[in-house]
Amino acid sequence: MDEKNKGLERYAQAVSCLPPRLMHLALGLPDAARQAAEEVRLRAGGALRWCACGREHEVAGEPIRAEELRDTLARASRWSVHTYEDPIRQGYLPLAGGHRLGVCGTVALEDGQPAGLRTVSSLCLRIARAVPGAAAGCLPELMDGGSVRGTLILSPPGGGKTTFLRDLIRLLSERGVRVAVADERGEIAAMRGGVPQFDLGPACDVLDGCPKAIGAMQLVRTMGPQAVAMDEITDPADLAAVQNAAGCGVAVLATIHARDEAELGRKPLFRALCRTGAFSRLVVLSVDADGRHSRVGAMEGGGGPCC
Amino acid sequence: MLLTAMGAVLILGACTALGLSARGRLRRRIAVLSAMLDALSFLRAEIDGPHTPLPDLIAALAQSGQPDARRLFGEIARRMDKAPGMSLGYHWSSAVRDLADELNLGQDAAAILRDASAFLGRYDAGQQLQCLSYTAARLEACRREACAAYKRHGNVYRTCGIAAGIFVVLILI
Repeated sequence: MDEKNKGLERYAQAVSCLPPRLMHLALGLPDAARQAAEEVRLRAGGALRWCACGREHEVAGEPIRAEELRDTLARASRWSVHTYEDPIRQGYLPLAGGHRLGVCGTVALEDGQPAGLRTVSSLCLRIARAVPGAAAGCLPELMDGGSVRGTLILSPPGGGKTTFLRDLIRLLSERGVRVAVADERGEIAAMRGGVPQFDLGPACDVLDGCPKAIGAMQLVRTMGPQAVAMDEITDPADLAAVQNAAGCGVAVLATIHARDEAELGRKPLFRALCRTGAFSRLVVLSVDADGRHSRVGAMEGGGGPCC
Repeated sequence: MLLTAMGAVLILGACTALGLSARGRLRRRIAVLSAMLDALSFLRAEIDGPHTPLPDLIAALAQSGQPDARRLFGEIARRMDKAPGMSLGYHWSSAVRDLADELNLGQDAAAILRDASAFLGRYDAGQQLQCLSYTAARLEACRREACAAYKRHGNVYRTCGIAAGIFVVLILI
């Protein structure tokens, strides 16, 4: 199957969680739009929209009803919203194939903590796609002979961090580097029946569904990796995992939300990451009208240019 | 004479069978309502504890040892496989509607079970458990009524059947 058909198939797989009316609207888009779409957005009272390269495009049709959003959530959870309470509390629902449904609405609190959603007001369906070669241009700078440098990948949300990390894992794995993946949200590998749905190469071990902080250390102890990969470092608890993995002589490949180095430097979490000394390379991903770009910077001595 | 005796036995047997059949329907209704209550208990336990997905629970009930539960949930599972685009609530509701007479559920119990289709799988565990408990309480009330009806009318139907048989035989002879 060629890349175009693969892209269309992944789009169809992602939108299969929509109610019939919205699914037909989404599938009615031209091939080029379906292939380029990175997200499908649903807002109560608004039109269906699809996004590519950070821009939203409207799909003509009746406004979306709030009931259709609740229906989408129920379908996406295989009619088992109760099974996915924890991720929904965190604002997302992992879907088969590595896709993700972001959830927004009125939160019900219990003891000051989110206990669920009273109403659903908007949904963001993120379509997971493999982009073979996305990390190929940066690879030489991320390797030091046969070993891997600790690498932090940054971009704004939707900038392609996970896609880049996935391809980096594949490239390293194909070069014989043993990579272990702490795939908390199941978006990197999209495991099904123990088999990754994305190509991660022949030397990759995946631990999915486990919090990164626990999973990364478990992988270091049990799988003997040369590199540990994890997506979206957002929690101080992840820092300990990064530090411990680096302390065991394992290269850490991780992603973090930020527009650029300047914004990154203002994040206390990043300053703490710098102090771990786990990273010596910074990959900055950006999107503009010409497409996606990546550049590699050095974080000499484990410290970034802004630390 | 022999023919008359055989005819009398047959008439008596037929009328008795009618009475017993009416009594059996009352008993069967209690059995089917008990089976549905057991199924709801199973759903509540699995949603409350391991948070098992509903399609898996329905598949498990479709393999149940209880024939009525196996029939209803097997039908729901079959419809879900056949038309995965339709909602679980739709399959649940339509299967209950279509099998209500076959299972001798009664209109009230069927309506209670169909009401459950509005919330199943759509809300978090706490809300679903509340709704399932409410459904179970309403079904339990139906079962109590069915038990009372069985106690009140069960023996009457049987006795009436036998008495009607004797009455007809006496008239004909």
